[in-house]
Amino acid sequence: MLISKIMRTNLVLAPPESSFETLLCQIAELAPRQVYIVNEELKLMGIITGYDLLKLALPTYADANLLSAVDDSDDFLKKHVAAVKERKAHEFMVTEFTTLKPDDHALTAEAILVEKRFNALPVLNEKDVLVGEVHRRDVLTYMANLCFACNLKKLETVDLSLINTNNDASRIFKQLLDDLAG
Amino acid sequence: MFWTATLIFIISYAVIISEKIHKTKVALFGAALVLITKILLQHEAFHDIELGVDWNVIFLLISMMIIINVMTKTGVFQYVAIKAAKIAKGQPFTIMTIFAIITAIGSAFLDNVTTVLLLAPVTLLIAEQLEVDPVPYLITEALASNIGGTATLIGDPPNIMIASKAGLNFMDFIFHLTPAIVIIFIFWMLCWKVVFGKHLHVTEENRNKVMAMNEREMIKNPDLLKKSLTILILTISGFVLHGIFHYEPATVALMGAATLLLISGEEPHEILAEVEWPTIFFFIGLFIIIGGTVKVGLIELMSQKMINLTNPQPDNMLTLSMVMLWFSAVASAIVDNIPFVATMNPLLIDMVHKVYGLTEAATAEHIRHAAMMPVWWALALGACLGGNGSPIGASANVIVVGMSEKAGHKITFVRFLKYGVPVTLLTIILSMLYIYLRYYVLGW
Repeated sequence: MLISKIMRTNLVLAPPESSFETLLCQIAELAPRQVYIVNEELKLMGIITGYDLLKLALPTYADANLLSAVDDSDDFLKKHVAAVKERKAHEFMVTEFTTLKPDDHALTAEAILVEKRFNALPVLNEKDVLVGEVHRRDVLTYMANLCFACNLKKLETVDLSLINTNNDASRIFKQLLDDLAG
Repeated sequence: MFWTATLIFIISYAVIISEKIHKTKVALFGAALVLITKILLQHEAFHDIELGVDWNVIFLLISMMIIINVMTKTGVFQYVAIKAAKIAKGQPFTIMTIFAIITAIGSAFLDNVTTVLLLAPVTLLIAEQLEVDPVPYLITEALASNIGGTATLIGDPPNIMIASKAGLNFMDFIFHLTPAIVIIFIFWMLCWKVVFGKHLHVTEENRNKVMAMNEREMIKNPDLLKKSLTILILTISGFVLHGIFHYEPATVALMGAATLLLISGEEPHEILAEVEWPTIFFFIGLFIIIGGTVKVGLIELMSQKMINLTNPQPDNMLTLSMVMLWFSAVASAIVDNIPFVATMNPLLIDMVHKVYGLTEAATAEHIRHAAMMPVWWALALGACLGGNGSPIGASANVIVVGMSEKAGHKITFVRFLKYGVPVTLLTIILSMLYIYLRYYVLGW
């Protein structure tokens, strides 16, 4: 299967001058795997992930243990976010990235995702213009469709907010076992 | 052979000082050249006490690194630092003083770099809560770690090397160097009070932020904390008694490290992976390079020059002590004090030969002769305290400057010098007075 057949083409893009504030809102509201920083020809300049924003908003010296001593964590976070909110994408975007071509095979994408532990890979055409993205889920979906006939009726999520008692938990678990037994 | 060994020595040291190539690579390559050119035979490099690797130093360093690596996982340093800030009631200068004391004590018994690595993040956090410039605090901690590390045998690698070469025990350092460091530290803090006492101000609101911090959250593993503190106390007790029971310090440290590894439940590969192997191999490489220079007579030549310059007498080496103190301090401010002491150790042993007219190997009686002891202490004080003279003079300084810059508070070379040079001058002048009064006036 070619990458062009499994890639998604609806992506979140931003120019290099985008501020931290804009990028944070894009990631928080649109929930993309990563934001692609492009120029006026839609050539890929860099990538920003949620991790990059989280890292920028934390002081470099701090770890989880040390920050657990801070009393007013909201105030602390607000202060640090305020300090970086005007930082521009080009200042902290990742500029070294691995890309796919539309005519690469899905197996190549799978291997790169595993080797490099990436979540998603940009797809560029021969002119280095961004044309799509392949996410881990896209490859997994392709694998599932290729190898199994998934029973869609049995696939559902569990709303944990509805579980209040031990009985609820037992009931849910019994349901999971029943589904498994077929 | 003489010129080959000299060339390897000079080029290796020049490249180490230039920092163009990692110092461990240079030291190991230099050592390999010494062996391949047969300046030293492999047997001499690995097994000869006079010429080869000092395994006492190597195993003492590795063992203490293991104990420290386990202790850092407990969060005890962060706990102590936050508790101290609260005891100081958020007063900025009191916090600076208490942090300096904690750093000095920590560095006296643990590794300087580890101590500042653990305390610097807490310092940055507290300075942020107080809304004060963290740079004076961080530089104070770097200076305190170098001063505190001078106080004991295990406080700083130069002391470990000097102790091993001169056969000095833990209590020798406690009797001779700790009082000097206590005096120096008090004087330094009094000067710091004049410099910073009236210039650090914080608001009540910011002080309350510090008072509201929860230090108990810092202790990650109380069970591991109890075990590692017990082992640390037992190991330090072992150091105190090692002279009486005739154990080498490395034996005591290895016993502590091995016991802690056994009872801690920590994965050995994880703890051992965190040992600073580049530093260990740097030592190994240096010992072999220096061994080569000893064998070909370069060190003997240098020692003769030093004798001509300082004219030491069998019963009085005042000039040599003073020259050694200042020379070590200046050299250590510019270059790493480890290669410096690695060179000075055999040089002093050779001087003992010449001054006492020995034909056989120097014995403890001569190496630790009453007239010789101030020279060893001058070397230790100069080499350790001299590290404060520049941002590259000691590893702790480099760490603090790097962490501060990453946190957005750049410490320029000149800004560090503004703190470091006066403190180095103060501490070396006090050391000079200490050595002169204690050994040449009072004769203690």
